[in-house]
Amino acid sequence: MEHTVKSYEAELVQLDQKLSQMGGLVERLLGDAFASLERRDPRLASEAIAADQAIDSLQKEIEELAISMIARRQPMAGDLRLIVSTLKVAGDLERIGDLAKNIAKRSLAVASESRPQSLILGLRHMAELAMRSLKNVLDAYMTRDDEKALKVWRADTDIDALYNSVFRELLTYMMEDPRNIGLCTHLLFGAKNIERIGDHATNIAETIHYMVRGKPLVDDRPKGDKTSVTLIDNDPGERN
Amino acid sequence: MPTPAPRPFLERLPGSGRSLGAIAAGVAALAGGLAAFGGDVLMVVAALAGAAAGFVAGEIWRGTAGPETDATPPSPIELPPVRAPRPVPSRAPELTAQSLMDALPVPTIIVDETFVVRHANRPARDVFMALREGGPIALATRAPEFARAIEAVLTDGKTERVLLHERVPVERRLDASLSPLEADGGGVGAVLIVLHDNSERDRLAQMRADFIAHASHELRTPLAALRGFIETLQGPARNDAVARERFLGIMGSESQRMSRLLDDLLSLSRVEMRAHLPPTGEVEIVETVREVIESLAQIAKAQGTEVTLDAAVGNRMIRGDHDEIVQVFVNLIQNAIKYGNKGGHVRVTVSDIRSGASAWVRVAVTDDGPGIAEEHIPRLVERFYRVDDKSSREKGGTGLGLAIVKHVVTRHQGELRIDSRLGVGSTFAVEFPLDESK
Ligand SMILES: Nc1ncnc2c1ncn2[C@@H]1O[C@H](COP(=O)(O)OP(=O)(O)O)[C@@H](O)[C@H]1O
Ligand SMILES: [Mg+2]
Repeated sequence: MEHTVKSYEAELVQLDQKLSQMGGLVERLLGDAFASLERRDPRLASEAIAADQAIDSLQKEIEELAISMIARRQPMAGDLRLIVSTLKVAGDLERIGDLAKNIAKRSLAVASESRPQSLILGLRHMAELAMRSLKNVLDAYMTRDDEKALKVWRADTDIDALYNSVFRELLTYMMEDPRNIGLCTHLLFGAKNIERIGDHATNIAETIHYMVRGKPLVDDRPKGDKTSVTLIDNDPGERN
Repeated sequence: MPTPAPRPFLERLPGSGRSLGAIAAGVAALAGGLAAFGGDVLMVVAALAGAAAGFVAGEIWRGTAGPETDATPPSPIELPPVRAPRPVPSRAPELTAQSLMDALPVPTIIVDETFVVRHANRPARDVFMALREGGPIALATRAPEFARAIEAVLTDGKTERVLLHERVPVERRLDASLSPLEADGGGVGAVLIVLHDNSERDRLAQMRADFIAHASHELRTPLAALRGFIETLQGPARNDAVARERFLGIMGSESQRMSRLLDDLLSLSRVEMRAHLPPTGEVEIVETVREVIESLAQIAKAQGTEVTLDAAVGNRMIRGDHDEIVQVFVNLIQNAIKYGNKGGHVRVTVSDIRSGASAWVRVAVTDDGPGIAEEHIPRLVERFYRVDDKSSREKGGTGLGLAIVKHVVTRHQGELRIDSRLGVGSTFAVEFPLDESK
């Protein structure tokens, strides 16, 4: 009996460690992807794109472990919530990895074009907020810190507000000079990807709240994105 | 709960003497690696390692003089006996592994075989804000190579070295040396991690590059204007007294703007340089705000603007850098005067706020000016971002004021909040955590 209890605990710890590992890879990928865009560094972009594989396989490992734990251990309320939450967080992390990889791909496409400094500063500002949210929400997960998760949840409106502003600026550039359209479209999708990363961090925050409190967050999700959905919600290159 | 409760790891190590010996040996081993970082660090580490080793041998800290008997042999000439000096009772506190680590001026962490932090000294907690004893090391950094290095030390018992590049909350580069600590029954029981912050050096190079890029870019326009005026004054307007007066006035204000730009660029570089170092001084907020308002009285008067202070609280101490905090208030209040209406009213309010268990002080600067359109608000803190280029230039702005504010506030673990409504006015508020030890 003692033995079973112990290795069950050990499995829970392992689940946490795998998620933390996955989080570390995603944090690195996001940082590298944006840096490759900002500094026009195709080598870094390729590295970032390649790193996505390790993230995908960790997600599979987490899924397998979690499912087998549920099947073998039939965990009760709290533990079940924990395991299911880990599964959900891993899913959001995998999506963040995809979105980040997509930024790296775009950076390859625009590496040779010159671009206005102010646009890059706007995107950098967005990326910084997204990286901060990702770090904080992962920290919140590991410490089961509901307060910290809620802060991330609330901070998403900042990313959305920035996105709206960057979006407008990009449109202005495109209208000013049609030659900017190619570059600006790539940057627009890049900005959209970051904004979506913020949404996934928000999802993770909600999951943490549910995991810690045992009930879902009831407020409406913070939503500050007021741009038209028609133009940019269907980035063809995003899901792969 | 999967997060194990903190176990008294250090107590588990065999007799404090041996545990200290182990750590001293670890520190000494790392000293070799740290030698590249500069002699002073090496010396401190070596000295502490020596002290700890001495303690293990029972030679120092407690004194080792023999029995207090008079051991002088009889002598034909009567001389006063020579006594061994009396052992001075030690007043040093019990020397523990913790106290040794806490004395180290370099960030030092002990992680056990389950990746749980057993001890982290103050410098380490300053580097990694989220880090806490009993919590997973991943709260410091989840950098994949860092976890791999810990794993490697635990399995091979060899030392490892990794370079860490952290991007948030502030960019920094750290050189981490990891070495094994022996466990009770042999084998590696824990990993001693000593960090060296290389951010400063890298930042210096980056700062120079940024500075030159920005300065040359931003100075080009006013310089071109100056040259234009000079040429006009030498040529067509040579004998035009009225034009000369007017041009000289413009040239004067353009050159002032150029020197302000250089000042602001330097300030911004300085704060960026120190972004990764927590401030060490103390600042009293209410008095500082009062002084700043007084120093801006001239400028306010010129605009016909009234600046009032509404401080419903007494002294409020924060951990901070005085000059930086002054600059925050100067920039915010100056903006409110500059961009507010002529003959308007600027209200500065100091108040307390509580958030969970922590207490903060809030300084809000409210003007009754034209306000700022919503889409610009999140961008204002970006360097050189201006709502209206022309208006900022006319008012002698550099576009760096709020970027500096944001950097200073972040370094002080504070918050900047901007609230504005078109046609009503704007509120720029900064919030700083109170230094509760005061
Ligand atoms: N109180 C305010 N009211 C309206 N606009 C403001 C206010 N404060 C700042 N701004 C806007 O924010 C921009 C950036 O401010 P800042 O970084 O201080 O640069 P600068 O004042 O040198 O232009 C200003 O150009 C101005 O457009
Ligand atoms: Mg200003």
